[in-house]
Amino acid sequence: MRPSRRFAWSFALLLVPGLSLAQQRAPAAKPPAGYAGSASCADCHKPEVAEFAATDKGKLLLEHPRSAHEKLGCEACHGPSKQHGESGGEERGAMIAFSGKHPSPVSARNATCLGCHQKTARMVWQGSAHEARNVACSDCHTVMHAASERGNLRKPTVLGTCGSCHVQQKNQQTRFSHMPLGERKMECTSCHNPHGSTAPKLLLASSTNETCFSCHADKRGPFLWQHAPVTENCANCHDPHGSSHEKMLKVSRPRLCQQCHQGSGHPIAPRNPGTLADFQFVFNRQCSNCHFNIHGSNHPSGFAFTR
Amino acid sequence: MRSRASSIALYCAAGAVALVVPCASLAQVKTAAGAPTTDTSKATALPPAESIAGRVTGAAEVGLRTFTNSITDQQRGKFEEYRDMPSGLLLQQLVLFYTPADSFRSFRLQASNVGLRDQTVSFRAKQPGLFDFQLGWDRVPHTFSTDARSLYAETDRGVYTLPVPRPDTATFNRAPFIAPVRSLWEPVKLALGITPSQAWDFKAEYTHIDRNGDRPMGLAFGSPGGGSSEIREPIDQTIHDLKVTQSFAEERFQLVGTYDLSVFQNNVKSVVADNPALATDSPTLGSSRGRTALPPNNLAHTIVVNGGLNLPWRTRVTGNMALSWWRQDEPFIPVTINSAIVDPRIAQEPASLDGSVRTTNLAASVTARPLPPLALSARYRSYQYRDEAGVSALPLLVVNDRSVSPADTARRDPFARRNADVSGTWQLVEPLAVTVGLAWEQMERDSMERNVLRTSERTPRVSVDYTGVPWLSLRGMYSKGWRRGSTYVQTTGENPDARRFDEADRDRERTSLIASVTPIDPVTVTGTWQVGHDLYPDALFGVQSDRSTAVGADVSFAIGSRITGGAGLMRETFDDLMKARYRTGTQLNNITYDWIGENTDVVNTASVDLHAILIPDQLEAGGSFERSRARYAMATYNPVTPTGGTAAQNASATAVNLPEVSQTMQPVGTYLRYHFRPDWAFTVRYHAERYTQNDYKTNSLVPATAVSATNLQLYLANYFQDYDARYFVFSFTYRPQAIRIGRSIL
Repeated sequence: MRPSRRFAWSFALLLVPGLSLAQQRAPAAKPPAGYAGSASCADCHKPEVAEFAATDKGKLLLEHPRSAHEKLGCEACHGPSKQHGESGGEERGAMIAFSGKHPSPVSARNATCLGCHQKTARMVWQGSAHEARNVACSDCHTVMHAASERGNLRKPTVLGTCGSCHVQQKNQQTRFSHMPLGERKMECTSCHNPHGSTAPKLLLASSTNETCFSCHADKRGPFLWQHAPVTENCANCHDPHGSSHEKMLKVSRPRLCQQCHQGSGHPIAPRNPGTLADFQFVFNRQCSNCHFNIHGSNHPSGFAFTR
Repeated sequence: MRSRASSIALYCAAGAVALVVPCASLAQVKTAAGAPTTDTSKATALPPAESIAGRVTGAAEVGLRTFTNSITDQQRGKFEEYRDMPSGLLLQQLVLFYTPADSFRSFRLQASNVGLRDQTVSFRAKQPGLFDFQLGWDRVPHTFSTDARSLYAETDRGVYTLPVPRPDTATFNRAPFIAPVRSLWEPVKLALGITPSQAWDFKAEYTHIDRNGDRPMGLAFGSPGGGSSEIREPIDQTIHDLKVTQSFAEERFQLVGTYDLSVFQNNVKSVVADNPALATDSPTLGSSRGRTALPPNNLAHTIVVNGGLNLPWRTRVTGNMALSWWRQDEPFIPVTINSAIVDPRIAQEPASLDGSVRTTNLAASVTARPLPPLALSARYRSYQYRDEAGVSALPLLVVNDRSVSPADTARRDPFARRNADVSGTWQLVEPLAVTVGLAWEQMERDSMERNVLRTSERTPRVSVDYTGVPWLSLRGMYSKGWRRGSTYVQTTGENPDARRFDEADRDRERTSLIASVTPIDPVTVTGTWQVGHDLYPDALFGVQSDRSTAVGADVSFAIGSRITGGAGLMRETFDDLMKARYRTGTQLNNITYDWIGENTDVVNTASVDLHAILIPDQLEAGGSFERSRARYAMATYNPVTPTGGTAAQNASATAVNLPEVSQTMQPVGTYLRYHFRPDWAFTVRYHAERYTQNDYKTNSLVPATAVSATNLQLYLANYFQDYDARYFVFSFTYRPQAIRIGRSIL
């Protein structure tokens, strides 16, 4: 079978179950004992419930539930609250508290969220860098009010949310050379999946390079002449969070290139900016004045990346 | 533009069709869900939010930007790097919103910076839990410079010519400013997500990115002693990306399958530019023109399957398999454009690469909590990059269209990276967890271009996380790693004792501490301290060590319900120490030719923002200040004075410091907003942005510099000039209170 046909079949197979299940009905079940009902919550938490009711999640749970679990409303996440209500709020019982003076353990809070959301992007949450460091879903998300346009984030933007802990990376966006996150053309989540990934650094794709290629597909090649460190890892030379050096380089040229190219001849002279003979090696694009195709060349004579 | 407009129209039509399908197919789900139960009827008795259901409503912000000082076109490079900042009328935001009275579907059309180069338009229709349709058209400008100067005329796309006879240096240096060197990315994204049931998710996404414009590039005409020209690389590229994801999730297991097709098309295959020092082709002196290849068309298929299984004792097993196949078979451009070079081997050049790369990512993980305070985790990942290009032998090369070089082989760089990680977390007391882990990474390379066939790195770590009380969280981590490799085989021509930093033996140390304290309820202080240190114990030459430090604090606060604000301060330093030996002619091992390079980066960032409600529901004001100052220096020195060679060699071996480079960015903004009606506001904003830089590499550049009689360097002589932009924006905002669109908008 031709490769293209194989992919077409794969595509079709992926589609079929989605369409066939489109008309499935949601199961209906009575709430278990110990639950008080969302209206009871509003008796004491009226402003919170009102604000929650205006959110997408609130509309789903309080007005348009699809399953017996969702019909539990507030208690779908907070757990049975009858004891809590009957004690006048003194006792928590089996409730899950996501904030307040005595929040439930992080693992219990997260288990509640994962009860519905352990799929797609959160498949490998358990064992991920954030999970291993006891980060709670509610550290970054809130469903009680609409603070962000998307993702139920605690802060209006992804950068602001991630930047709460990753202060250095947030500050790197203000450096001379940066990607357009501050201009809201990208988000941290354009490259990272904070819920876990099988790739390093919680990257979306299988490797650093494959993540970069999702936008910079021109660098993917394969090229006739490959530059081995480029093939292995874009981050050998670039700091994608931002840099004081041109092109988000980790070190300015010519030093960047000289870190590896210590051969005889022109690569490894220290270069004096006051000397005309060193002009083209020190000024403007330095090494790239000539070796511009450094990510790889498809020119038959491009072995030195000058073509 | 015509094709883009038709593409967008097509997306809109497809979107409308796509909307109908989920609505119809999901109708029964809604009915089932809508069946009232005791609890649901209670829920509907909850206090409702202000209803906008059943009517079209919207929000908008219209304004006028006016500058109070003059900023020249040449100063706009950095100012408009990723944005469009004209003066005049602005439609900053537009939102149209509709939600039917009988459901909680919502339809939203949103646009910002309408008509500008950084405009964004999006349409979203969704019913949470059932379907989500999105259509977005973004424009991302990237300005490289607005002060480039050149005598080159672009006679065809990617073909740059100079007058004959060639101008002299003085004439080149009188070159006029040319159009801004910039590119524009226009991603159009179409996405449809359907959740037929709580267990099933289906998502299809198509992204089309048009990239047009130019960016600076260099082109060499000979070596040694040859000149080079900086010209504009023509950008006329398209990326298509289609991704289909199907996921199934039950309490016990979850399965996700994704297929991704990525296609890159470059409509300009090569660049041709006249040699400024030569007007006729010569078999010895060089070519009158240079020609180079631009990125070739390519495509990639990727299939990803993820699975997760929940087992007893809170154990979870996950597996991942990602297979990717990249193809590239763009016809090669001729080996040289120099008509004076005649060689029978030119006819034997292969036609194309027949390039093929296959990558495989296999990963598995097991996590378990056998006891309430104990969490165990083990992960393994194997990533393979296999290059199966059909062509590698080249019968001859022509270096820079000037000199014939013998046959060569283009070597491939296959590699495999394997990672494993085991860790255990013990909850000592409820809020305090200690994690001990060990990471292992092995890199195998099968390439004659690389020096070490196998490296292995082991990194034990310990972390402490205290997250038990709302007013304090404390996260500390320390790791120490050792990377060791098999025999280092040095590349021919390189210093035998030099080691490349990505392959060399390495000792790595990382320490980080993040503390978040809320001393009183509305005040939160977050402090961060990170230190990284890499040491290359086996490298006599090459990178010796690098060290990075980041120390900072962020404060956010609220005073009553009317004043909120924050402040931040951070200092980052990065030091990199490199040792090298200048090697030339007979002086290949002259120890007096050793030199040291010390790169030091320091970045200080400070920010303050404050927002105050002066009169509730009527008057608010605020402002922000940010200052980021970066400087880096490349100190370079010889441990001993170079001697032993010729005077010229000794001079070349003598190291001097490269001048310090600095950049300062300081944006300040203030605003005063008056709500003259409940849904209406008038806002006055004042911005003062200042950018200064001092970069020896570009500050004093002129378009042409004659290095020698045969070496003429032509540059665009462009850089980001300092700017001081001060401007007002006066705007009217209409925003019904009932529209929940987040604080980031309007």
